[in-house]
Amino acid sequence: MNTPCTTIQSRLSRYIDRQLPEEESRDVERHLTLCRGCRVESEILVDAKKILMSKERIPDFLTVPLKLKRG
Amino acid sequence: MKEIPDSELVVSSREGSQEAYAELFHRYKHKLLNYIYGYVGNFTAAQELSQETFIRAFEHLDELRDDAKFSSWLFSIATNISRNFIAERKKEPGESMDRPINASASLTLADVVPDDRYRPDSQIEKQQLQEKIQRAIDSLAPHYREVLLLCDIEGFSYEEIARILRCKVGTIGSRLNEARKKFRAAFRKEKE
Repeated sequence: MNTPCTTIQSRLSRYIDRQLPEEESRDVERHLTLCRGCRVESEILVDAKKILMSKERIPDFLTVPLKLKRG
Repeated sequence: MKEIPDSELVVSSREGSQEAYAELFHRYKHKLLNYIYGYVGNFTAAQELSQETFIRAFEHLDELRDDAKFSSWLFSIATNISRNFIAERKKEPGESMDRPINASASLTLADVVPDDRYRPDSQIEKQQLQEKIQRAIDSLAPHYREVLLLCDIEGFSYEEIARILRCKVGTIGSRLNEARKKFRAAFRKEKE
């Protein structure tokens, strides 16, 4: 667990969104198995993402009033 | 049937094709309205701002440098228009970013979907949950709202978000960290 917690925490969203290079991603993964504090941080971010992803989209029929026009 | 790429539709639109312009409009109107509604939390305003976005985009189509990046460019215009809308509201007497926009909006999504009386309890609970999510988004500063909406709701990649928000790709991860934490705290507060 060489990488400091601050570095790991700064990478968490990129880790969750699979935007990290493979090596950094493995480093975060290893760190999370050993560090409770960073795991809690990670769970908060995952939870937020899950809630946001459950936000319903506007039903398609509500786009009907939008009219095609040029300015 | 193979979908015509945006870049071809943009070229044809510039040359005056109404059909190409209509196709771009139909391709993005739903995603755009959904994004703007999430941003401003007011359904009537979201419709007007979506309309304004399309008008501005087609008026300035000549300024689009890479035709294949039409969608990022369109959402960039929508972001600016929504930001200005929020900033204007903030200036109005009695308005503040601490106050959910929904509280003073003329119409929210709940007003335009069927009446509660015709829905079972589970549906009402679902609706209430959706309102809590929207209120938690409304409580965030614009730069946090936009990154959450673009990433977690509209599903844009980090590269696309960086183009839309005109910032470095490296900024997106750290902004998402902050935005997700703030959203989660605001959502928990809504649930209390």
